[in-house]
Amino acid sequence: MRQLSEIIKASLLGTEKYMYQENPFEIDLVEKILQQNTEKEDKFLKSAYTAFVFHEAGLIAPTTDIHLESCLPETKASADERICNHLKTSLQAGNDILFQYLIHLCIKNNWVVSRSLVPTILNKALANKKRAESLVICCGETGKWLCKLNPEWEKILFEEAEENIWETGTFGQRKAFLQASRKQDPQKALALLEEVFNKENAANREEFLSLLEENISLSDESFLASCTKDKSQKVKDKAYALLKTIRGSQINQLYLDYIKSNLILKEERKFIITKKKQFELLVPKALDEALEKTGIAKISSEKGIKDHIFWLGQILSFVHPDDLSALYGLSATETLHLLLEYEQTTELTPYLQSAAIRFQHKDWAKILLNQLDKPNIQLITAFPKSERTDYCQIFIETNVYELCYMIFDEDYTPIPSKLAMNILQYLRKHPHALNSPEYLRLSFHFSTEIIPDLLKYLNDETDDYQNRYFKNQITEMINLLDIKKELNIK
Amino acid sequence: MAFSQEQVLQMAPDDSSAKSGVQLSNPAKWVALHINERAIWGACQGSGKDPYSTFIDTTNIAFKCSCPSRKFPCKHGIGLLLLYVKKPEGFQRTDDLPNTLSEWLDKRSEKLEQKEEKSAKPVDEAAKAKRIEARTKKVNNGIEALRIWLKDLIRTGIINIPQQQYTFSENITARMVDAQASGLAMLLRKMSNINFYEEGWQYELSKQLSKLYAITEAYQNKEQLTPEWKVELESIIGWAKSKEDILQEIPVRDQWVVCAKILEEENYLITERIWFFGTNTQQFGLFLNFYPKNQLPEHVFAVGTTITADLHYYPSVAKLRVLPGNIIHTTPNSSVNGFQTTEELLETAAHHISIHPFLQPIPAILTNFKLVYSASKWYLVDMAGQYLIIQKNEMSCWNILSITLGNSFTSFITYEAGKIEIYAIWYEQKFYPLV
Repeated sequence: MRQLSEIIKASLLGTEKYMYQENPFEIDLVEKILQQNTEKEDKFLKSAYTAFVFHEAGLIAPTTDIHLESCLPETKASADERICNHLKTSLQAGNDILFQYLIHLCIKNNWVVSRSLVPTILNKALANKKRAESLVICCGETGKWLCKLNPEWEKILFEEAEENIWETGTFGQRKAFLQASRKQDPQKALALLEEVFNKENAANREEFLSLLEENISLSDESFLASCTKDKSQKVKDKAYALLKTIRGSQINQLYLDYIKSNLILKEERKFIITKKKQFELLVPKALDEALEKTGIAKISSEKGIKDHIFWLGQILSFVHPDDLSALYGLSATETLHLLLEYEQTTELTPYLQSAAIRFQHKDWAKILLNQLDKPNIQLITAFPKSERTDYCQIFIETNVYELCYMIFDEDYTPIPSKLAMNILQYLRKHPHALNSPEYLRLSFHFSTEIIPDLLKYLNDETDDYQNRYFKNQITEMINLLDIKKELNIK
Repeated sequence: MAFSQEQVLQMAPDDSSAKSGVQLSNPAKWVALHINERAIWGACQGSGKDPYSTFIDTTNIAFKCSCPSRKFPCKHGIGLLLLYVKKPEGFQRTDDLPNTLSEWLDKRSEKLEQKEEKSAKPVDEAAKAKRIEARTKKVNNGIEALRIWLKDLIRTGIINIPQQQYTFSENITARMVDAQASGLAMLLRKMSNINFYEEGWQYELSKQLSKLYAITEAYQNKEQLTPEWKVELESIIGWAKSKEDILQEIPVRDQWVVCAKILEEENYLITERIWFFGTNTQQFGLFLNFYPKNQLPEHVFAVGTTITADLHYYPSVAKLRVLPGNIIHTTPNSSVNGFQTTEELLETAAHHISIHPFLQPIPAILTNFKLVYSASKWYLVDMAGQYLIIQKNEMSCWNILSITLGNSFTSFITYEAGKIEIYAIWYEQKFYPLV
C-alpha cells in the first residue's frame, strides 16, 4: 500500500503539482508505461490502473480470531409458519393492525417469531418504544442476543433481572423499571423514587411522579405532600393532582369538610305523613385559599355555571362516592339520586360522572348510564368486561367512534355477535363514522362466525359513494377474519 | 411447480400489489380455479361485471390477466399463484385449455421461435455497414472527449471532488449517452455512488478514473487484440450485440440457480440484473435486462428457484453475460456449493483479473463461512480464520446473523478488491434473499 499512496497523492494534488518520476511499484509494465513518450496524465492514468490491478490480484487474506459470543438456546416454542408468513406480509405491506394482532398472539401463547423476522421487528421496536418490550419478548433469545451486539438495539433491551438498571439505565429503561416495580411492589417503587427524586431534573421528576398513579394509596401521601413544595410548578401540579385522588388524604379530607359545610342535607315534611330528603347548596363568599392551592379553579370556566357550583363540582369529582355517602349517612345510590334531583343537576352531572369514572363506582355508573340522556361513555369502564355489552348498545348511535376505542383492549376481547351486528348496521348507514384502521381493528374483536353476515353486505348493490366505502372496509375486515380463521382462532 | 409464498410475493411489482395479491389469495374471491400441465388459470370476481380471467404459464413463468391494471404481474396474477401455493387442492385439474389461454401459450412459444428465425432473415449489408460506420464515428468522438476530460481532471487533482460529487461527472455522462457509449456512461454514474464521506474514497475514485482511461486505451487499440477482446471491449463501452445474434450462440443447458435479482431504477428505466449459477457447469451467468417502469419484463424469475434452461452466453472474454433461451422446467428449491476458503476465492479472483483486468466485481459462492461483527464492521470468516470485509447492507448483515446465529452458511457474493457484497444465503436447506 505504501506505493499506492504515491498514486493517491498524485491523484489528489493533480499531476500538475505532483507526479512520480520513477516507477515506485516495482512492476515492469509500469516501467514501460513511464518510459513512453506521452503526457504526464496519460502516464499517470495507465500506470495507476496497472498498479491497482496488480495490487488487487496479489491481495492476501488477513486473519482474525474474533468470535461472537454464542446465542442462548431458545426456550420458547416457535410461532406457526403461517403466523410468521402473515407477520412478514404485514411488515411488508405496512399493515400495523394485523402486525399488532399477530404479536399479541405470540405473546399470549409464549411463542417466538421466526429468526429471519427478528431484525425488522427490533427496528420496529426501536421506532416505537412503547411497544418495544413486547416486541423484544417475541424475538426470544435471538432478539436479546442481537440487542446486546447492536448498540442501537441495546437501548430497547428490557432486562428484568438487571438490578442496576435503575441507576445506570436510560431514562426510558428507568421509567419502565419503575413502572414494573410499582405494579409489583408499590412501596418499594416509592422508596426507589424517593431516594433519587431530588437529583432528577424537573421533566424527569414530573414523569416519574405520573407513574405513582398506579396503585396509589395513603402511604404515598407524605412523599407527594413534600413534592407540593417542589421548585417546579409542573411537579407541584402533578403532586396535587395525585393527592386529590387519594382517599383519606388531607386534601381529600379538606374536600369532604367543604362539602359537609356547603352541601346541606335537609329533611322536609311532605303531605304531613312523608318526609323528603333533599340537598341544598350554600353559597360561600369566596373559595378558601387552601382549596385553591390544591388546584380548584376559582373562576368558572364553564359557560352558565356559577362559580360556587363550579367549586363544588370540581371537589365532588375527587371525592369517592362512598365517602360522600358516609358523610350524610346515606347509601351511595341514595346519595346520587338525591344529587340528581337537586335543582342544579345538569350543572353537577359531569362532575358526578367524573367521580364515578375515577373511582370506578359501579352503582353510580349504572344509575348515571340509565338516567342521563347523554352519559359519559367512560362510565362503562366501571364495569367488568363481561357486563359492558348492554351499556355499549347505548353509545352505538351517539358515539360509535369512542365506543370502538372502549372495545379495543390489549386482550382483543371478542364482542357478542348481537353488539357486533348492531355496530355494523349503524356503520352501514354511517360508514364514515370510523376510519379504515378502526374497521380493521374492530374485525379482530369479531368472531369468525360473522363472516357470512359480512358477505351479505358485499352483495348490497347500492352503488353510492358511502356504500362503496363501507363495502371496501367490509372486504378488508373479511380478509382479516379469514386470517383468523386460517389460524384456527374463532 | 411449488414456489414458496415468499418467492411469489417477490414477483409482485410493488408492495401494494403484494398486499392486494395476499388478499386475493382466498378461494372466496375466485369463481373458477383450474390447472393443467402447461398453466394455471382462474376467474376472479372484481369490481367489473364479468370476472377477470387470469392465466399463468407454469413452464416459463408468465402472467396474463384481463383486468385493466398496468402493473405486471397484476394483483390477480399474484393472488392466483399465491392461492395455488397455499391450497393447490382447490384447483380443478382440466385437460382442455380455454381458447384464449391456449392461444396465449401458443403465441408465447411462437414468439421464441420467431426470434430465432428473425436472425436468419437476410440483412441489408450496405445499410448495416453505414450504420456501423456512423456509430463508430460517434463512439470514437465520445471516447476522445472522455479521455480529454479524464486527463483534465487528473491534471488539476481530485481533492475537491467530494464537494461536487453529484455534478462533477454529469456533463461527460450525458456526452457518453449522446455518443452511444452507454457502458461508459454507466461506469461514470457508478462514480457518484462512491461514499465520499468514508475514508478510502480517494482509492476508489482514482481506481475508477484510471480504469475508464485504460478501457478507452484498450478500445483505441482493439484492432491489435483477439476477436473475443474486440467484442468484449465493444460490450464494455455499450455496443452490445443484438439479442437475435446472441440467441444464435450455442446455449449452455444446466440447472441454473437464480441467486439474486437486483433492480435499479433511473429515469423510469428499470435495470434488472439477474445472477444465475449452473449447478453442473459451476458457471455464473448475468442476465442484464432493461425495461421501462410499469412494463413487463420478458421473463419472471423467482430468486431461490432452480431453472432447467438454456442460457446463451455473449461471446466475450469474460463469459459472464447471458440471455435466457429455452426454459424447460422450474423447481422451487436450490442448493449450491462453492469455495470453502478465502484463499480459494482470492486465487480465483487473481486468475480472473489476469485474464480480464476490467472484470469486477467477480461473482462467487462461498461455503462454510461465518459472519462476524466487531467494532461496527462486518467480516465473513472462513474456518481458518481468514476474512473478507463486507461492504454496504448493514441490515442484511443483521438479518444473516439473526438467521445463522453466527454459524457457518453458504452465500452468493460478489467480490472486488478484498471486499464483498452478499446477495443471498443458504442456511439449513433454506434460501434467504437479501436484496
